Amino acid sequence: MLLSNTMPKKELKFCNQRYEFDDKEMDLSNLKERHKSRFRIVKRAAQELKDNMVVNLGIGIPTLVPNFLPNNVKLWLQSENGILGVGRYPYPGEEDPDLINAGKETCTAVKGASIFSSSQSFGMIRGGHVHCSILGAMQVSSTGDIANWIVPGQFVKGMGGAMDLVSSGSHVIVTMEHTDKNEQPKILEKCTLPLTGMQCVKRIITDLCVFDIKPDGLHLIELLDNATLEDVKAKTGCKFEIKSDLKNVKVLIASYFVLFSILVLFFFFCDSGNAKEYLSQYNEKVSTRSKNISFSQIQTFVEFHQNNTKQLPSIK
Amino acid sequence: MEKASKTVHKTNQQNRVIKKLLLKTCLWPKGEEKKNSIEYETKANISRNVPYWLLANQYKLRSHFSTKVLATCDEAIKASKIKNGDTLLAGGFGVSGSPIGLAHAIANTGVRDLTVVSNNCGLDKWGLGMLLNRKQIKRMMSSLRIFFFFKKKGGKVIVANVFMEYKQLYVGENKEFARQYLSGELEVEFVPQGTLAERLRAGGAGIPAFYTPTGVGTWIHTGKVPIKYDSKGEVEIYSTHKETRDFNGRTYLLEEAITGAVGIVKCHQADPFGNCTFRGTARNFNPECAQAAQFTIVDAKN
Repeated sequence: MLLSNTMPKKELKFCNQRYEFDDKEMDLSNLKERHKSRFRIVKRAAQELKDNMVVNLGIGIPTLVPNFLPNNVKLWLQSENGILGVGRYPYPGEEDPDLINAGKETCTAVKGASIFSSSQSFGMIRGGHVHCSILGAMQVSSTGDIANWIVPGQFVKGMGGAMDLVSSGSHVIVTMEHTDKNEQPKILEKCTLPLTGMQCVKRIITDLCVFDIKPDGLHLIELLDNATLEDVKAKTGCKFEIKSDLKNVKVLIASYFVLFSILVLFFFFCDSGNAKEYLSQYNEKVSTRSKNISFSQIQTFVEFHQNNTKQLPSIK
Repeated sequence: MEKASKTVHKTNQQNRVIKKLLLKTCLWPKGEEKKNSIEYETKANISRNVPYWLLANQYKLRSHFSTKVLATCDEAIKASKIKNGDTLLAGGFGVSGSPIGLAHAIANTGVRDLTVVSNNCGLDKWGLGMLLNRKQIKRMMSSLRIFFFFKKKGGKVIVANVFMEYKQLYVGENKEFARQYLSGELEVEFVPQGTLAERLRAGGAGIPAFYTPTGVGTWIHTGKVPIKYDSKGEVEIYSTHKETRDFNGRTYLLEEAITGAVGIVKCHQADPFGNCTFRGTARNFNPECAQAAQFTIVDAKN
């Protein structure tokens, strides 16, 4: 497989149509609690992914994950219907009905992407060539069973490619909210819904905490933001072991802190005399740089460019 | 030698026709574009290099066209001689790469009791959904990455169009499908998408069955997926229990291959020899369906 590191990050970044969680437009104070919890899950899940991984993302929360990747991480997104190297969503007017992802949304292909038939793409999944897959779930058991395709008497979602992804033996991460809408636990001793796969989930990321699933059962690794141990114990339907060095990772609060600190530093900087001197020096530099280029130079550049473009042969 | 010369003359006549076609369709390598005669046509070359009968056979092979190019979808479906109770393999994932025109042509013929193998069943009253709407399908084999919800109110089944968040994203919504499945008019066999693709591939490659790890320990394995409901809303037919076998300490399920009488495929470009190209992800299930069917029809309209 060809892996190039020279790809610009813009191409790999997802712009999401439904939730606009872009860093610039991010206003955390106006978010609803449900959105906040989702945001927390997504941000934590983005830390799981490493450079040059081949990753398959499920529908729902997992599609938001590429928005929050660290700067030095570039992924290869695989889609079950036969693309390796899914890019961002298309801009209006750029959509192509023959380029869709597994969720039947229109998408773009990254530079160096490859396209193949379904049987080949599932061969890739079953053969364990996909390093990591992130899925949503309705129920997960303490032994790693997962259920997400049918609720008898209520709805059928269809298993799609989830069953193949889950049983491939790759690193399966489940991202979901800790409880369902009726505030009943989703992490149980044994799943009550029909299964999608047995003993396959390796890690669960919820809005409260992060669990690891090992042969001897559930292990609590991290608590996210303000979640407490008692809260987690009350909302999970089974026993779990607590890691001796339990971390309390701050996902959302950290970003609050960063914003706050930047503001403080800004004011501090503006007040001090050094900063003003620095700014004035900077302005001078910029102005001199622009002055150095004379009008005639620009004119010659433009003429040169025009002449060159004329010499180029037309495409037809 | 006289007999030989006669056969060569005949084949030459055939070859001229083929050569014209080839010049139109294929790109020749550089330097050979303007050559009027092909070298091996002359008698001298034949006598010098290869025994004439061998070449004559080669000409026969080249002049044999198994494919037909037809103008409309209806003519193509007539040529396939599709009859009641046949299995139909249809490519397509969602809307991209789905042979809509051919599906509509099949709907117009009025064939009944079809078993349709496809990843999902078109849209409401459109594509394969048209076959559903006219109740021509007996059994559907699909993986169905579609959301549909249903509720029971006073003994009647109501298909609710919930999940408004996803309404824009999921184009493959089909209410009629859910209604027929729940009221017992339609049999639905849920197959995981990967095994569906592999079963089709195996059918085309002449492998009768294979072992996969997908679905071990689930309803697919134990045979509890309802295939058909009766009119009261209780399950009439369940899926079959599947054989297992252990390899290297892991259990695998035995899945059988799928073959069909007629395959319908949508492609980007096709030539009179039967070669096809696909555009982007419109490839999906199409090559597998084309290989697994005894008679395949390709829709190359764009």
